[in-house]
Amino acid sequence: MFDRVKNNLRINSLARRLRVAFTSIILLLIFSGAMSLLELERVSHDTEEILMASKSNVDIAGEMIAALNEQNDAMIYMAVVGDERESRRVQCLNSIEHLRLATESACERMSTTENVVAADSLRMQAERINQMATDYLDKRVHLHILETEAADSITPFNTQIWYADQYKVQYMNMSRHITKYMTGTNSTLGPEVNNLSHTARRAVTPVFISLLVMLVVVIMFYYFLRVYYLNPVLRINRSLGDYLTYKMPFDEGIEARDELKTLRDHIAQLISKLN
Amino acid sequence: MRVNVVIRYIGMVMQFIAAFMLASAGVSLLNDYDSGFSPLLLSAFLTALLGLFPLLFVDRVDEIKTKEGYAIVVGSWLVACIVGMFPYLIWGGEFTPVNAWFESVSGFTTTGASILNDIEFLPRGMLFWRASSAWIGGIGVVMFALVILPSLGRSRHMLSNVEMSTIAKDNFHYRTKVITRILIFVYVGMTLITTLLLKYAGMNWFDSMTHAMSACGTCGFSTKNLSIAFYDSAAIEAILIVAMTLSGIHFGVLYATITGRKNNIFRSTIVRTYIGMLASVSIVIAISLFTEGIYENFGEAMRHATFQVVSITTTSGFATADTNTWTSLAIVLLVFCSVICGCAGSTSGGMKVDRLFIACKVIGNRMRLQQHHSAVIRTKIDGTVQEESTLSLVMTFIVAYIMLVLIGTIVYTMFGCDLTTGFTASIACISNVGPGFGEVGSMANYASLPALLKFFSALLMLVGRLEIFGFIQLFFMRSWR
Repeated sequence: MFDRVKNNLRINSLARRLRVAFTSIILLLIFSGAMSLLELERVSHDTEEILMASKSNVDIAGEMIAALNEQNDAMIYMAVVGDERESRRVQCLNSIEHLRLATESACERMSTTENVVAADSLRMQAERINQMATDYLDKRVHLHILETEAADSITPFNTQIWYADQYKVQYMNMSRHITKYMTGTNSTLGPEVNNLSHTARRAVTPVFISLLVMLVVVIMFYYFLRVYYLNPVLRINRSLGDYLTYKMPFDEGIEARDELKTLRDHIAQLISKLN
Repeated sequence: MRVNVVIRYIGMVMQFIAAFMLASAGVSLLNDYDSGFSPLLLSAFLTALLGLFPLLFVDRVDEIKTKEGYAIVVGSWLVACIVGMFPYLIWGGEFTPVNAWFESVSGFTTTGASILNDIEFLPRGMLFWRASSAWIGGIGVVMFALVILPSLGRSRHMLSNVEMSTIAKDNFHYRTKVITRILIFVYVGMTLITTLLLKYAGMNWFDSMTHAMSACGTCGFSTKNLSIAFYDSAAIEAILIVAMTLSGIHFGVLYATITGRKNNIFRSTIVRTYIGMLASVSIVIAISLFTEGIYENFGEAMRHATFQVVSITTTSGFATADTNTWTSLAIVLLVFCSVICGCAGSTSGGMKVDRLFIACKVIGNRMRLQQHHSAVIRTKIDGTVQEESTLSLVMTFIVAYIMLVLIGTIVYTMFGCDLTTGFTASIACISNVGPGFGEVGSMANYASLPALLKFFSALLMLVGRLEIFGFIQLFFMRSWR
């Protein structure tokens, strides 16, 4: 039983050798191709993730800028132009809430990329400018009440100077923080981009190396076929030709094995029977 | 020469290497399918395929000729280094083709020099492959093939004749079949014991296994950027000192000691010289470091000095300290150790204590001959008379070694390296030590060298591993046909 299995596994015939050789080559091609596909799939996945992360960063930064500008607009109308309508106040309150929410999501993203210090700084700056706007709104309400009671007895609150000296400075600071957030979060994508380039290389290199190996294998294949099969067949052919032109005897010393050996032996047998 | 026969035996070695690549892929799989998995699996497949074709078509032979033997051994080393590049190349990262070649040659020749700036970035599968290449290289690619692949039959003896240096063979008083068994018994046993001890001393299983493989192969590949200094553990250092010291001793002598035979380590003059050299150099360096105030107490100086001396002498190259900052005396002594290295028949490279011992005896005999012109003086080691051909070979080897070091130094300095870096890197590569001094110090690496110089360094490692003549002879055989 064991011997039978062993004999079946033994590669001792031309057909079996060729079958194993070709199967191996096909398997190599499939395997290296599959690996390249797998790595390409990874490249595609990583690229998508990087782009999504980048887009998300840009979106959040855009939301922050929009909220900040909305707040700034409201402050300009109220503090500089003197537009004290309720709609401006609502606009300002909305912008405060928008900025708070956008900053929160930005900070959340930054803390996942371990950029905690920058996140804290952004949060503090947003709180500062929001607090300023809230204070302004509160002060205006307060002043309004005071004005109705004793308008001449108080010093008017110079809102234009306040805007130029205090609010605008904080506005510029917040703008800088948002820009920093954008560049900072994009630079944290650096390692991922590096990984992406590694993965891309891993998708190309297997094919390149497989081709080189294939080249060597094909050369080896050709060499072995020539040495073990082509040359003996040519020699048998020549020897048989010689025999047919009466250059006897048939050269039985041809080095051959497996099916070729059988062929040589059969020819030799046939010749001996003819003789 | 029968090329097909040579290719067949190289194919066998490749199957063996493929098995280790597959094992490394297994490690990757166990470590959450890390990024090393597919490069290692594909490399294993490619290597196995390359080795399969010769086995498929070429029938085994009973006899191989000397030239074929040389071609098989040298070819096996070269092919091992080439296929060893595959996982690195496919994985990418810091591995450019030249860097992959350097790392692969460094592993298989057990040099342990690296071009990696951040070793810890490598996935575990790749780290295991690095350690495996060092382990395979430690015992010699062909010696493994001799044991694992029994189909070699009578040609086994021929191959071992080529693979092992004459001196090493002289010390083996066993048949070739037994020699290969001894090698495996001692090597595998030592690796397993070292793994267990390192685990017990506080390393995790992975680190203890890779460091044990590296220590027993006297390679010095670590899984940490700071090498052994990362652990800062006296117990780990002590275990590695013992493992490295034993790996630097003739395996036959170790086997004899374990099995209680006569020619054991306590009787061997060579081993006594080797141990004596390690001890005396360690003490001198420790005193030098302590008196110069590099270490505050003598114990610490002794600990670092012993580790570095053993690491360098056995050609391992692990590091616990930056030896560039040590005293000139310490540096000179370490360079001396880099030249002499361990005993013949061990996994270490370099000139070997045996050759130094014989050379000293030859010089002594020559001086005695000057006084007694007609005297017949024989050179004996452990009571065995050394043949003239052996003595001549030893002296020729020493001259060739010195010449090669000088050529290496010239090439390094040609590429802009300073003298210290050039000279010590040249010795470190030829002796398969790994770290030198200057830019390639114990805490640095070969990453900053130009690509051509990295290629040249790898070539020096191969020449050194093949005991100089094994490699050179390949190019000077009059006729290969």
